[in-house]
Amino acid sequence: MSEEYLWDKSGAPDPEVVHLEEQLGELGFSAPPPAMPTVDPRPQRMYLIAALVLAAVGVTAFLLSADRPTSGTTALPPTAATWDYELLTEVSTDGGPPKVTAHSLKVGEWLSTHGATRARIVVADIGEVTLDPESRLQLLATGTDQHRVRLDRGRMHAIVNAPPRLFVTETPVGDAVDLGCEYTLEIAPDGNGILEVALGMVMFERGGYDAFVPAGARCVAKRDHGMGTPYFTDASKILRLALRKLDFETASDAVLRDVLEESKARDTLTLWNLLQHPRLDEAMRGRVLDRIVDFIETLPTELNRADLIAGNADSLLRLRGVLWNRFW
Amino acid sequence: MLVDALARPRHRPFVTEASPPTPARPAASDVARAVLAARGGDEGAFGQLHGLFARMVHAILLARVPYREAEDLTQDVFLTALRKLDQLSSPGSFGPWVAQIARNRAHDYHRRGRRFEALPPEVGRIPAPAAEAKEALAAIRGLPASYRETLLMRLVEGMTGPEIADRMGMTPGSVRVNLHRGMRLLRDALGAKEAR
Repeated sequence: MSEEYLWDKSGAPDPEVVHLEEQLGELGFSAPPPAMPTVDPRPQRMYLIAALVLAAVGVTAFLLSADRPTSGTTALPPTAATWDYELLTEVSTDGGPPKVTAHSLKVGEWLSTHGATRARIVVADIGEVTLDPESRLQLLATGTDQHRVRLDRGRMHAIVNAPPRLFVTETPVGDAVDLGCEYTLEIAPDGNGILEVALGMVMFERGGYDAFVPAGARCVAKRDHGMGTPYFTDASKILRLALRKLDFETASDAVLRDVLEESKARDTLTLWNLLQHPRLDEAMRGRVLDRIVDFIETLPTELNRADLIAGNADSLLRLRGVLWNRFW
Repeated sequence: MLVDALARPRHRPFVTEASPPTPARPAASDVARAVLAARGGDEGAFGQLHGLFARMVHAILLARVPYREAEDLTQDVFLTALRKLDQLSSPGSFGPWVAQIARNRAHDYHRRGRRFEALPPEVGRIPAPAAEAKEALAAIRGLPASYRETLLMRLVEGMTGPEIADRMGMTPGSVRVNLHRGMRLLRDALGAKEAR
């Protein structure tokens, strides 16, 4: 039985999936397209007449239509202005089901969980967020081209099923920008944070520095020191300790040497992010690039060493593609 | 792999990138061309968009409305999209845009009741599904939102994971997660029903 069959119908067919396809396939869509309506000079719908009248006095039609996308953006129509959520409270100690109550969260409102209560939030049809006990989250915006929340403290687990950058979580230590994934974000009482990505990838952004965090990686951020450098969770303890010093104590040549010497091929994730590290000077970035080249043997001909050290965006993205395909 | 200019948030010296380094979606330029042509009244282009995205829209609706309503509402969504096509600022993003129109339509269906253009009676005849199919559909609708649409696209509409990612504007990784985890939950749900 192949998992690939569920993915793209290749490999050995999964009997359960095949059975479901046979049962459910009859519900599939097969109608031809509807005829395009002809242009009618006499609009018959009242909302269109009202929209034309209001447009004539300078009010745009989107105030009347729930589906009107904004201009100059990726142009997604607005969604409902509230999110549904459930509070789940453990009421027994013998593993019985939790008590569940249903609620709605409006834009601007805070949701706090206490004691043994967690929350399960439906994120506007694009996913789900689970909020652990002793957490606090605010709905900042939902609709048009983005959904934004703020995690003030506590722990949330997000599963997002949407185009990149549609869901953003603000925190005291940076913004987690979803690129289509599953991740956990935790903000401690002291305001420090940890982002850990289970699937897909997240950009963790703060003060002009973007940390790229793919599946299997973690990024630590400290309120008073800024964003750390992402690393795979299976990186060696020595590497992680050296990285912590580099990120939050001293960006010295000696500490960087420890990071570089301890890094393995998969740690090129960390090294790639270090190429953009705000505390590394040009010489240090050169050493980081040298270490990356140790793993890939040679830079692709289309990549220029000077451009990479200078932080050229296109060059860095191309290098990331190479490393992604080989090691991540 | 080039930077997606639409996704770059602000001027910053560091790299920002909306998508992982995966192969470019093959349909994006075709979709944009079809959108531009459909704006000009090209019926063939409209038909092309319908052909590319109708199954996706139908699955989104099937996740939310009675199955008998889903086909008519699908057609209504496309007519709505056609009327609003001038408002789509990024023609290549037709897929996510029409997906949201579909979700909004489903929301309106429940809030206001049916309101869509009448279709000829011979269009939209939906045969009653078998009891097992109804049960499977109900089980999928009981899953978390993230998994519902993806599973319906795969199991009802016969779309593959790469197709789903392409039409929805999602990363293949996300779709793969949704399919596999959703399928695991579905197996549990159907297994639990059999045990009762």
